[in-house]
Amino acid sequence: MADLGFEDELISLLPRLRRFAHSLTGNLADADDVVQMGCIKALRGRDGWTPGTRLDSWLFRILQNTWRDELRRKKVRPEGTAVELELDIPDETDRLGDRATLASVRRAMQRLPEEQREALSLVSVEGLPYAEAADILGVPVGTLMSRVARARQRLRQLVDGEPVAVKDERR
Amino acid sequence: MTTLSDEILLAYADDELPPAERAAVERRLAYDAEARDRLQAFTTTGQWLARAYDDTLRAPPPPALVEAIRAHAGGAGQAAGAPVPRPRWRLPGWLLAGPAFGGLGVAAGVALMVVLQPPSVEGGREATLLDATLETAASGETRAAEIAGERFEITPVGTVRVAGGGICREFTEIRDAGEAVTHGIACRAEAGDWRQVARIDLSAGSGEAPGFALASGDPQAVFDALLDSLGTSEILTPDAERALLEAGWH
Repeated sequence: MADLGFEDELISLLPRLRRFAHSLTGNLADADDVVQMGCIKALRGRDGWTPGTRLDSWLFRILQNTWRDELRRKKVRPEGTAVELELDIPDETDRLGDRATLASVRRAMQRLPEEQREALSLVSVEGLPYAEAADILGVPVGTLMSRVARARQRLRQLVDGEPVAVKDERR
Repeated sequence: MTTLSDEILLAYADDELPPAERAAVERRLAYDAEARDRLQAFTTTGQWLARAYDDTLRAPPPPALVEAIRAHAGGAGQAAGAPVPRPRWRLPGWLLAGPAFGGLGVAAGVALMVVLQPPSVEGGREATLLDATLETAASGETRAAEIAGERFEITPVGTVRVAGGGICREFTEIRDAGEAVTHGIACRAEAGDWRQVARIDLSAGSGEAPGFALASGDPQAVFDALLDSLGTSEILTPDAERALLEAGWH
Protein backbone atom coordinates (compact mmCIF):
# COMPACT_ATOMS: atom_id res chain seq x y z
CA MET A 1 0.00 0.00 0.00
CA ALA A 2 1.37 3.39 -0.94
CA ASP A 3 0.25 4.90 2.37
CA LEU A 4 2.19 2.44 4.39
CA GLY A 5 5.36 3.23 2.48
CA PHE A 6 5.08 6.93 3.22
CA GLU A 7 4.40 6.36 6.90
CA ASP A 8 7.34 3.97 7.23
CA GLU A 9 9.66 6.37 5.47
CA LEU A 10 8.52 9.10 7.82
CA ILE A 11 9.23 6.94 10.84
CA SER A 12 12.63 5.91 9.52
CA LEU A 13 13.49 9.62 9.25
CA LEU A 14 12.48 10.35 12.86
CA PRO A 15 16.03 10.32 14.27
CA ARG A 16 17.08 13.02 11.81
CA LEU A 17 13.86 14.97 12.26
CA ARG A 18 14.42 14.96 16.02
CA ARG A 19 18.03 16.06 15.62
CA PHE A 20 16.95 18.90 13.34
CA ALA A 21 14.14 19.97 15.67
CA HIS A 22 16.44 19.76 18.69
CA SER A 23 18.89 22.11 17.01
CA LEU A 24 16.06 24.56 16.24
CA THR A 25 14.26 24.52 19.57
CA GLY A 26 17.14 23.93 21.93
CA ASN A 27 15.41 21.25 23.98
CA LEU A 28 14.04 17.80 23.35
CA ALA A 29 10.58 18.40 24.76
CA ASP A 30 9.84 21.19 22.28
CA ALA A 31 11.65 19.24 19.59
CA ASP A 32 9.37 16.24 20.02
CA ASP A 33 6.30 18.48 20.00
CA VAL A 34 7.45 20.06 16.75
CA VAL A 35 8.26 16.67 15.21
CA GLN A 36 4.88 15.29 16.18
CA MET A 37 2.94 18.29 14.88
CA GLY A 38 5.05 18.40 11.74
CA CYS A 39 4.66 14.70 10.99
CA ILE A 40 0.91 14.92 11.43
CA LYS A 41 0.82 17.86 9.02
CA ALA A 42 2.97 15.89 6.61
CA LEU A 43 0.64 12.89 6.76
CA ARG A 44 -2.38 15.09 6.12
CA GLY A 45 -0.66 16.93 3.33
CA ARG A 46 1.26 14.07 1.81
CA ASP A 47 0.01 14.99 -1.64
CA GLY A 48 2.18 18.07 -1.38
CA TRP A 49 5.29 15.94 -1.60
CA THR A 50 6.49 15.09 -5.11
CA PRO A 51 7.79 11.52 -5.26
CA GLY A 52 11.33 11.51 -6.54
CA THR A 53 12.25 14.64 -4.62
CA ARG A 54 13.93 14.58 -1.23
CA LEU A 55 11.44 13.63 1.45
CA ASP A 56 13.83 14.80 4.19
CA SER A 57 14.00 18.33 2.76
CA TRP A 58 10.24 18.48 2.43
CA LEU A 59 9.85 17.42 6.07
CA PHE A 60 12.51 19.86 7.30
CA ARG A 61 10.56 22.65 5.66
CA ILE A 62 7.37 21.55 7.42
CA LEU A 63 9.11 21.27 10.79
CA GLN A 64 10.74 24.62 10.39
CA ASN A 65 7.42 26.29 9.54
CA THR A 66 5.80 24.52 12.48
CA TRP A 67 8.45 25.88 14.81
CA ARG A 68 8.12 29.40 13.39
CA ASP A 69 4.37 29.22 14.00
CA GLU A 70 4.95 28.01 17.54
CA LEU A 71 7.34 30.87 18.22
CA ARG A 72 4.84 33.39 16.91
CA ARG A 73 1.96 31.82 18.80
CA LYS A 74 3.65 31.37 22.13
CA LYS A 75 6.19 34.16 21.81
CA VAL A 76 8.17 31.75 23.93
CA ARG A 77 11.66 32.70 23.22
CA PRO A 78 13.10 36.00 24.24
CA GLU A 79 16.23 35.91 22.14
CA GLY A 80 19.26 34.68 23.94
CA THR A 81 17.78 33.44 27.20
CA ALA A 82 17.42 29.73 26.59
CA VAL A 83 19.81 27.53 28.47
CA GLU A 84 20.03 23.89 27.75
CA LEU A 85 20.28 21.50 30.61
CA GLU A 86 21.10 17.91 30.20
CA LEU A 87 21.83 14.79 32.08
CA ASP A 88 25.54 14.50 32.54
CA ILE A 89 26.10 10.88 31.78
CA PRO A 90 29.73 10.01 32.32
CA ASP A 91 31.17 8.94 29.04
CA GLU A 92 34.37 7.11 28.32
CA THR A 93 34.78 9.08 25.14
CA ASP A 94 34.84 12.37 27.00
CA ARG A 95 38.47 12.32 27.99
CA LEU A 96 39.16 15.52 26.11
CA GLY A 97 36.12 17.40 27.35
CA ASP A 98 34.47 16.85 24.03
CA ARG A 99 30.97 16.52 25.44
CA ALA A 100 31.41 19.76 27.32
CA THR A 101 32.42 21.55 24.13
CA LEU A 102 29.46 20.16 22.24
CA ALA A 103 27.10 21.17 25.06
CA SER A 104 28.58 24.62 24.81
CA VAL A 105 27.98 24.55 21.04
CA ARG A 106 24.31 23.69 21.62
CA ARG A 107 23.92 26.55 24.07
CA ALA A 108 25.60 28.92 21.65
CA MET A 109 23.17 27.82 18.94
CA GLN A 110 20.31 29.05 21.11
CA ARG A 111 21.87 32.50 21.33
CA LEU A 112 21.91 33.04 17.59
CA PRO A 113 19.15 34.93 15.80
CA GLU A 114 16.42 32.60 14.55
CA GLU A 115 17.35 33.13 10.89
CA GLN A 116 20.94 32.14 11.46
CA ARG A 117 20.00 29.14 13.56
CA GLU A 118 17.64 27.83 10.87
CA ALA A 119 20.39 28.09 8.28
CA LEU A 120 22.91 26.32 10.52
CA SER A 121 20.46 23.56 11.42
CA LEU A 122 19.94 22.73 7.76
CA VAL A 123 23.48 23.20 6.46
CA SER A 124 25.76 22.37 9.34
CA VAL A 125 23.72 20.03 11.54
CA GLU A 126 21.85 18.16 8.81
CA GLY A 127 24.50 18.61 6.15
CA LEU A 128 22.17 19.66 3.34
CA PRO A 129 23.72 21.21 0.23
CA TYR A 130 23.51 25.04 0.20
CA ALA A 131 21.08 25.00 -2.73
CA GLU A 132 18.72 22.62 -0.95
CA ALA A 133 18.80 24.63 2.28
CA ALA A 134 18.29 27.93 0.45
CA ASP A 135 15.26 26.46 -1.29
CA ILE A 136 13.76 25.30 2.02
CA LEU A 137 14.22 28.73 3.54
CA GLY A 138 13.05 30.50 0.40
CA VAL A 139 16.16 32.69 0.13
CA PRO A 140 18.87 33.02 -2.54
CA VAL A 141 21.96 30.85 -2.04
CA GLY A 142 24.07 33.96 -1.45
CA THR A 143 21.84 35.05 1.41
CA LEU A 144 21.98 31.59 2.91
CA MET A 145 25.77 31.56 2.69
CA SER A 146 26.19 34.89 4.39
CA ARG A 147 23.83 33.79 7.17
CA VAL A 148 25.78 30.59 7.68
CA ALA A 149 29.10 32.42 7.59
CA ARG A 150 28.01 35.00 10.17
CA ALA A 151 26.42 32.34 12.34
CA ARG A 152 29.53 30.15 12.35
CA GLN A 153 31.78 33.10 13.23
CA ARG A 154 29.48 34.13 16.05
CA LEU A 155 29.17 30.57 17.30
CA ARG A 156 32.93 30.27 17.45
CA GLN A 157 33.14 33.45 19.52
CA LEU A 158 30.38 32.31 21.87
CA VAL A 159 31.91 28.89 22.48
CA ASP A 160 35.43 30.23 22.92
CA GLY A 161 34.22 33.07 25.09
CA GLU A 162 32.09 31.14 27.56
CA PRO A 163 31.20 32.02 30.25
CA VAL A 164 31.99 35.71 29.78
CA ALA A 165 30.15 35.94 26.49
CA VAL A 166 27.16 34.17 28.03
CA LYS A 167 26.71 36.99 30.51
CA ASP A 168 26.89 39.63 27.82
CA GLU A 169 24.20 37.85 25.86
CA ARG A 170 21.75 37.84 28.75
CA ARG A 171 21.63 41.54 29.35
CA MET B 1 41.58 38.05 -6.22
CA THR B 2 42.20 40.72 -3.58
CA THR B 3 41.03 38.76 -0.61
CA LEU B 4 39.07 35.57 0.02
CA SER B 5 35.57 36.42 1.16
CA ASP B 6 34.04 34.73 4.20
CA GLU B 7 31.51 33.07 1.93
CA ILE B 8 34.20 31.55 -0.27
CA LEU B 9 36.08 30.27 2.77
CA LEU B 10 32.86 28.86 4.19
CA ALA B 11 32.08 27.07 0.94
CA TYR B 12 35.63 25.73 0.90
CA ALA B 13 35.27 24.42 4.47
CA ASP B 14 31.92 22.85 3.61
CA ASP B 15 33.25 21.32 0.39
CA GLU B 16 30.75 23.23 -1.71
CA LEU B 17 33.21 24.68 -4.24
CA PRO B 18 33.68 23.33 -7.76
CA PRO B 19 37.15 21.77 -8.24
CA ALA B 20 38.63 24.71 -10.18
CA GLU B 21 37.64 27.26 -7.53
CA ARG B 22 38.77 24.93 -4.82
CA ALA B 23 42.22 24.73 -6.32
CA ALA B 24 42.39 28.52 -6.61
CA VAL B 25 41.45 28.89 -2.94
CA GLU B 26 44.12 26.40 -1.95
CA ARG B 27 46.79 28.30 -3.86
CA ARG B 28 45.77 31.47 -2.07
CA LEU B 29 45.62 29.84 1.36
CA ALA B 30 49.19 28.63 0.98
CA TYR B 31 50.51 32.16 1.53
CA ASP B 32 47.57 33.96 3.20
CA ALA B 33 47.72 33.39 6.95
CA GLU B 34 44.86 35.77 7.65
CA ALA B 35 42.55 33.73 5.39
CA ARG B 36 43.74 30.51 7.02
CA ASP B 37 42.70 31.94 10.40
CA ARG B 38 39.25 32.81 9.14
CA LEU B 39 38.95 29.39 7.51
CA GLN B 40 39.76 27.78 10.84
CA ALA B 41 36.57 29.19 12.41
CA PHE B 42 34.45 27.69 9.65
CA THR B 43 36.18 24.31 9.75
CA THR B 44 35.99 23.99 13.52
CA THR B 45 32.38 25.05 13.82
CA GLY B 46 31.43 22.74 10.94
CA GLN B 47 32.92 19.79 12.80
CA TRP B 48 31.24 20.79 16.05
CA LEU B 49 27.80 21.22 14.58
CA ALA B 50 27.95 17.96 12.65
CA ARG B 51 28.31 16.15 15.98
CA ALA B 52 26.57 18.45 18.45
CA TYR B 53 23.25 16.62 18.31
CA ASP B 54 24.55 13.07 17.92
CA ASP B 55 22.93 11.93 21.16
CA THR B 56 19.53 12.91 19.79
CA LEU B 57 20.24 11.24 16.47
CA ARG B 58 21.22 8.00 18.15
CA ALA B 59 18.42 7.89 20.71
CA PRO B 60 15.44 5.76 19.75
CA PRO B 61 12.45 8.02 19.05
CA PRO B 62 9.96 8.02 21.95
CA PRO B 63 7.41 5.23 21.41
CA ALA B 64 4.59 7.73 22.04
CA LEU B 65 5.80 9.78 19.08
CA VAL B 66 5.87 6.76 16.79
CA GLU B 67 2.42 5.71 17.99
CA ALA B 68 1.00 9.19 17.41
CA ILE B 69 2.29 9.14 13.84
CA ARG B 70 0.98 5.64 13.18
CA ALA B 71 -2.39 6.62 14.62
CA HIS B 72 -2.64 9.57 12.25
CA ALA B 73 -1.38 7.62 9.27
CA GLY B 74 -4.38 5.33 9.57
CA GLY B 75 -7.25 7.79 9.93
CA ALA B 76 -5.70 11.01 8.72
CA GLY B 77 -8.99 12.32 7.37
CA GLN B 78 -11.10 11.83 10.44
CA ALA B 79 -8.64 13.55 12.74
CA ALA B 80 -8.35 16.68 10.61
CA GLY B 81 -8.93 19.82 12.62
CA ALA B 82 -8.67 18.05 15.95
CA PRO B 83 -6.24 19.65 18.37
CA VAL B 84 -2.85 18.01 18.40
CA PRO B 85 -2.49 16.17 21.69
CA ARG B 86 0.44 17.14 23.84
CA PRO B 87 2.93 14.31 23.98
CA ARG B 88 3.06 12.68 27.38
CA TRP B 89 6.59 11.47 27.56
CA ARG B 90 8.08 14.69 28.78
CA LEU B 91 8.20 13.99 32.49
CA PRO B 92 11.32 11.94 33.08
CA GLY B 93 10.66 8.64 34.80
CA TRP B 94 13.15 9.36 37.54
CA LEU B 95 11.18 12.37 38.67
CA LEU B 96 8.61 10.18 40.36
CA ALA B 97 10.89 7.28 41.04
CA GLY B 98 12.01 8.40 44.50
CA PRO B 99 15.23 6.59 45.33
CA ALA B 100 16.37 6.75 41.74
CA PHE B 101 17.29 10.39 42.37
CA GLY B 102 20.56 9.25 43.90
CA GLY B 103 23.59 9.80 41.80
CA LEU B 104 21.86 11.58 38.97
CA GLY B 105 23.80 14.55 37.86
CA VAL B 106 22.56 17.42 35.77
CA ALA B 107 24.95 19.59 33.90
CA ALA B 108 24.61 22.51 31.64
CA GLY B 109 28.12 22.09 30.41
CA VAL B 110 31.19 23.93 31.54
CA ALA B 111 29.67 27.13 32.75
CA LEU B 112 26.84 25.80 34.84
CA MET B 113 26.97 22.72 36.98
CA VAL B 114 24.31 21.58 39.36
CA VAL B 115 24.30 18.25 41.06
CA LEU B 116 20.91 16.87 41.94
CA GLN B 117 20.41 16.20 45.58
CA PRO B 118 19.12 12.85 46.70
CA PRO B 119 16.49 13.38 49.40
CA SER B 120 18.37 13.88 52.61
CA VAL B 121 18.09 11.14 55.17
CA GLU B 122 19.02 13.05 58.29
CA GLY B 123 17.13 16.21 57.44
CA GLY B 124 13.81 14.69 58.49
CA ARG B 125 12.37 17.71 60.25
CA GLU B 126 13.66 20.07 57.66
CA ALA B 127 11.89 17.91 55.07
CA THR B 128 8.70 18.12 57.13
CA LEU B 129 8.91 21.91 57.15
CA LEU B 130 9.49 21.89 53.42
CA ASP B 131 6.53 19.55 52.81
CA ALA B 132 4.25 21.66 54.98
CA THR B 133 5.37 24.92 53.41
CA LEU B 134 5.04 23.77 49.83
CA GLU B 135 1.69 22.16 50.57
CA THR B 136 0.13 25.21 52.23
CA ALA B 137 2.00 28.46 51.56
CA ALA B 138 1.38 30.72 48.59
CA SER B 139 4.39 31.93 46.65
CA GLY B 140 6.00 34.78 48.54
CA GLU B 141 4.82 33.55 51.96
CA THR B 142 7.54 32.46 54.35
CA ARG B 143 7.23 29.63 56.86
CA ALA B 144 9.85 29.30 59.57
CA ALA B 145 10.80 26.78 62.22
CA GLU B 146 13.54 26.18 64.73
CA ILE B 147 15.17 22.83 64.09
CA ALA B 148 17.97 21.53 66.30
CA GLY B 149 18.87 25.06 67.35
CA GLU B 150 18.93 26.35 63.80
CA ARG B 151 16.37 28.63 62.30
CA PHE B 152 14.95 27.62 58.91
CA GLU B 153 12.89 29.86 56.68
CA ILE B 154 11.33 28.47 53.54
CA THR B 155 9.59 30.60 50.93
CA PRO B 156 7.97 29.21 47.78
CA VAL B 157 8.78 31.52 44.88
CA GLY B 158 6.74 30.07 42.05
CA THR B 159 4.62 27.18 40.89
CA VAL B 160 4.50 25.40 37.57
CA ARG B 161 2.43 22.65 36.10
CA VAL B 162 4.52 20.09 34.26
CA ALA B 163 3.59 17.70 31.49
CA GLY B 164 1.24 15.03 32.73
CA GLY B 165 -0.40 17.49 35.14
CA GLY B 166 2.09 17.31 38.02
CA ILE B 167 2.89 20.34 40.14
CA CYS B 168 6.40 21.53 40.91
CA ARG B 169 7.41 24.51 43.04
CA GLU B 170 10.55 26.52 43.24
CA PHE B 171 11.58 27.62 46.71
CA THR B 172 14.24 29.41 48.69
CA GLU B 173 15.47 28.14 52.01
CA ILE B 174 17.36 30.38 54.40
CA ARG B 175 19.11 28.74 57.30
CA ASP B 176 20.64 30.30 60.36
CA ALA B 177 19.90 33.92 59.52
CA GLY B 178 21.30 33.82 56.04
CA GLU B 179 24.36 31.73 56.81
CA ALA B 180 23.17 29.21 54.29
CA VAL B 181 20.87 29.96 51.39
CA THR B 182 19.64 27.29 49.07
CA HIS B 183 17.33 27.41 46.13
CA GLY B 184 15.46 24.34 45.03
CA ILE B 185 12.67 22.71 43.09
CA ALA B 186 10.34 20.09 44.52
CA CYS B 187 7.51 18.25 42.86
CA ARG B 188 4.39 17.03 44.61
CA ALA B 189 4.31 13.23 44.71
CA GLU B 190 1.16 12.96 46.83
CA ALA B 191 -0.63 14.90 49.54
CA GLY B 192 1.96 16.49 51.80
CA ASP B 193 4.84 14.72 50.10
CA TRP B 194 7.07 16.97 48.02
CA ARG B 195 10.14 15.46 46.48
CA GLN B 196 13.14 17.60 45.85
CA VAL B 197 14.31 17.47 42.31
CA ALA B 198 17.17 19.91 42.62
CA ARG B 199 18.81 22.26 45.06
CA ILE B 200 21.58 24.72 44.65
CA ASP B 201 23.61 26.05 47.52
CA LEU B 202 23.85 29.77 46.98
CA SER B 203 26.00 30.62 50.00
CA ALA B 204 29.51 31.09 48.73
CA GLY B 205 32.13 28.82 50.17
CA SER B 206 29.70 26.75 52.16
CA GLY B 207 30.97 23.23 52.42
CA GLU B 208 27.97 22.30 54.54
CA ALA B 209 25.35 21.40 52.05
CA PRO B 210 26.20 17.99 50.67
CA GLY B 211 25.83 17.08 47.09
CA PHE B 212 25.62 20.50 45.49
CA ALA B 213 28.10 22.24 43.37
CA LEU B 214 27.48 25.39 41.46
CA ALA B 215 30.68 25.86 39.56
CA SER B 216 29.71 29.22 38.20
CA GLY B 217 26.98 30.84 36.22
CA ASP B 218 23.55 32.16 36.90
CA PRO B 219 21.41 29.99 39.21
CA GLN B 220 18.19 31.45 37.86
CA ALA B 221 19.10 30.36 34.36
CA VAL B 222 19.84 26.88 35.66
CA PHE B 223 16.45 26.70 37.32
CA ASP B 224 14.66 28.04 34.29
CA ALA B 225 16.35 25.36 32.25
CA LEU B 226 15.60 22.68 34.81
CA LEU B 227 11.93 23.63 34.90
CA ASP B 228 11.98 23.57 31.15
CA SER B 229 13.53 20.12 31.14
CA LEU B 230 10.73 18.89 33.41
CA GLY B 231 8.38 19.78 30.60
CA THR B 232 6.82 22.84 32.16
CA SER B 233 3.54 23.37 30.44
CA GLU B 234 2.22 26.28 32.49
CA ILE B 235 3.57 28.82 34.95
CA LEU B 236 0.73 29.38 37.35
CA THR B 237 -0.51 32.89 37.98
CA PRO B 238 -0.99 33.89 41.63
CA ASP B 239 -4.75 33.43 41.20
CA ALA B 240 -4.44 29.99 39.66
CA GLU B 241 -1.98 29.02 42.35
CA ARG B 242 -4.31 30.21 45.13
CA ALA B 243 -7.22 28.28 43.66
CA LEU B 244 -5.15 25.11 43.52
CA LEU B 245 -3.80 25.61 47.04
CA GLU B 246 -7.32 25.95 48.37
CA ALA B 247 -8.39 22.84 46.51
CA GLY B 248 -5.51 20.83 47.98
CA TRP B 249 -3.65 20.89 44.63
CA HIS B 250 -6.39 19.05 42.77
